[in-house]
Amino acid sequence: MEIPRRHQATTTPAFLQEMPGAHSADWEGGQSSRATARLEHEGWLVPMLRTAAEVAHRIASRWGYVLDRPPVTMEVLTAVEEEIRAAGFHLLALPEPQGGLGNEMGATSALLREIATVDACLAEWVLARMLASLPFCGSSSPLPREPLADGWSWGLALPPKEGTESGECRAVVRGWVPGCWVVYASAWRDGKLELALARSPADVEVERTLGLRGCACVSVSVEASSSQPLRNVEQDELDRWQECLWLWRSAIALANARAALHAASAYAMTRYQGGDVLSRHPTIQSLLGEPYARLLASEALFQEAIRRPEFRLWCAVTSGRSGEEACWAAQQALGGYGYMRDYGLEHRLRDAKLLSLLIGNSRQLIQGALRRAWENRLPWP
Amino acid sequence: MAVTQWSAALGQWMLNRLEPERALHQRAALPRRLKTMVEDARAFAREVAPLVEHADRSHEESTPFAKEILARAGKRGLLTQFIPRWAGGDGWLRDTQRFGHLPMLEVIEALAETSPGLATLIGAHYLGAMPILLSFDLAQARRLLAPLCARSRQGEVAICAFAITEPEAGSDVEDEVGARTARLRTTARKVAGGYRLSGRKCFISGGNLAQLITVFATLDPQRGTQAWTCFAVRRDSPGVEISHVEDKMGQRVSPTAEILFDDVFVPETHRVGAECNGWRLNRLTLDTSRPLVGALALGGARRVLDHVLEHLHRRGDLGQRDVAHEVAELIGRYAAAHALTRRAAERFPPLPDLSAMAKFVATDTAMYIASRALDLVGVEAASASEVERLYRDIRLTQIYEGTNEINRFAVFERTVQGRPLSWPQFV
Repeated sequence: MEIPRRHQATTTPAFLQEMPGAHSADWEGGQSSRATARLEHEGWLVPMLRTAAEVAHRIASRWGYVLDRPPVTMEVLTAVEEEIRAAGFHLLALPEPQGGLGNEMGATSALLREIATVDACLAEWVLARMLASLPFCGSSSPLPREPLADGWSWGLALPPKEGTESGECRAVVRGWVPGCWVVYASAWRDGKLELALARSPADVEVERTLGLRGCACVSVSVEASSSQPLRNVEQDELDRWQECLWLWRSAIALANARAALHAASAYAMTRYQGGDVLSRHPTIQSLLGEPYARLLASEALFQEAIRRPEFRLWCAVTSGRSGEEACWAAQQALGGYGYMRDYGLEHRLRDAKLLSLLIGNSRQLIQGALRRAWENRLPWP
Repeated sequence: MAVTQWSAALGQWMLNRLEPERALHQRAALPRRLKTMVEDARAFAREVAPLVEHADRSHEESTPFAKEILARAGKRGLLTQFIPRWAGGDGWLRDTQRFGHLPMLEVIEALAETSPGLATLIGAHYLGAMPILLSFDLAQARRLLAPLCARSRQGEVAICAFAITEPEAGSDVEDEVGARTARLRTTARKVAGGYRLSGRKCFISGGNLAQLITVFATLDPQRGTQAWTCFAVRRDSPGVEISHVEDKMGQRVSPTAEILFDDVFVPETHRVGAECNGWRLNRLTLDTSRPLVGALALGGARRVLDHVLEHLHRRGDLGQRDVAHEVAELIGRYAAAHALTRRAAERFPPLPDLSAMAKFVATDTAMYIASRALDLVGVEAASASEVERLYRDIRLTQIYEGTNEINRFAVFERTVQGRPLSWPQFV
């Protein structure tokens, strides 16, 4: 098996290089971690987000149509992956010395939101890269040069088959590209949770999902015995990753919903019905206004959750549902146009529903959040 | 000629008698003959299920799949069974008198259990034929529909389509208050021997496959709904052009087309009902079809529920009190909506407010069930599963036949006209 080489990730991501002043010693030198407030103060965050949006627009306008209509060819997946890597999106979650934004949850979430406003699939793709690189943050483990795909959060480690010494791990991988590395956690050896890397086969069938179709989803089977164990992981570490996942996916769901509501508002302000523009009809005002209010509340909680990890589970509970509700209302406001794929809104609802499912069953999340709150005697948000 | 005039006059007299207050509320069990019809529809749906699946997965146009399905449906009598014998079909008027549109509702629901898109494909044909039948011009109905019925029995694709929606007139043309100021741009100009139609109709279910399209146009745009007139236009008429077939989120087996009418000549004999009687025909047609749309959504929801119950039973989750609580809620809502749609469909002539209520309650319930079902089953249901397809299919039912918001207005339309609320009549 090929041993992964350490990635030369000390250069500044491409989309940051396009920014004026990005080459300052302060950025490249990998000084102390930079707080979002300071980024804003220095006027870095806004142009950075703008550049990320431009890159996302370029990728989405070139590949978005093809990606939403599977089966997508391996060539297309590889081409989009190259664009994502050239833009530097895959390094977002890495610490600054490795070229990313590190644990700066505010900045990483803001970037994901910016990308999701353009296309939630693209944001989910970038998220897959970020999740896969989480285990390498600040560790000496080598980062493969090839694309990394997440699998750890779904990596179900099965016990070794009877009469054999190998365990099988079945992982659902999002953001899959041919021959990518799958990062997964397996517990087949001595019952300890072990982080491992395995090369995914190149000819896996891509699943046809309800939404986020551009972000290829496959189910791969890897033999635990033949993979490269990196290190052991503790449950606490997995829990921390899960918290990051909740926050990042909430960011995508909220941005997706906001984009849908903006599109519906633009339509309502120009479309005449019953002798007046739609936006003046009380029914449409209620239809769009109520989900918008709930979306704003979820966004407020999201901002709070960036600073306070104990709120991240609550943020996940509300953002998935409110995002789905907002997209439904936006589609309803457009009527027949909202259902037709050429008008670019129907995929928002499909994406929102899948994002809501990926965030987790709201019933289980609520139960989990309350259990945590009661066990740890945490204050109510 | 005399017969034609007599027939049209009789039709007008019948149409004027169709007041909801005159409806007799009859509740009777369907006879074995009609029950067999429902079972046949269910068997047919299972037979064509692979074609439906192909149409949904293919990103090419679904028209070839739809043609194949319609040809098979025609041979099995599914496209003629609700067209009365006097119009060349296989149906009985006395069934409508006794059971309202309950038999059609049951058939639509049976088809929708496999695919709401399939039910739309078949149902759109009856929707297109309905203004012709409801105008009660027996001679015209026979002249227009009998050749289509004969061809469809032989396995040819010969269906009707209903064209009212326009790019700038959507749900408002399906609501009395909105229609007064709606911008209906398709116009009809009276010429020697007939009319000249010009305009554009969009989102027409089965529009690219239909041989006969019932088109609503205005004789005078300044007169609002008072000038609306219905015409039966042959698709092969010079000037009729299918400009676009839509790529939809769901119900992909039922093609939806945009149709252009460029100075199309329509003979006077193809005018449906009297001149300027289009609005009345439009309302009567929609009031009849809205409970059917509710049933269509509930057919899909029932299939979703079956999947959820099977999945939860296999996983052993039904023993959990909170899961059982949620599933019971879904089943309860389904049962209530189901009862309402049946009650609405039993009435002939239909009661507008009851029909509208049945439509929005049933479709909202079905969408709620589909959405919660995905939550209950989890991510695995969102990957290449039937539940995922049904979720996309059911979503359309909240939008067509007037969005559910418009249907809520329809509940109070009669009150606005100064008539009493009719809700005590069906309690």
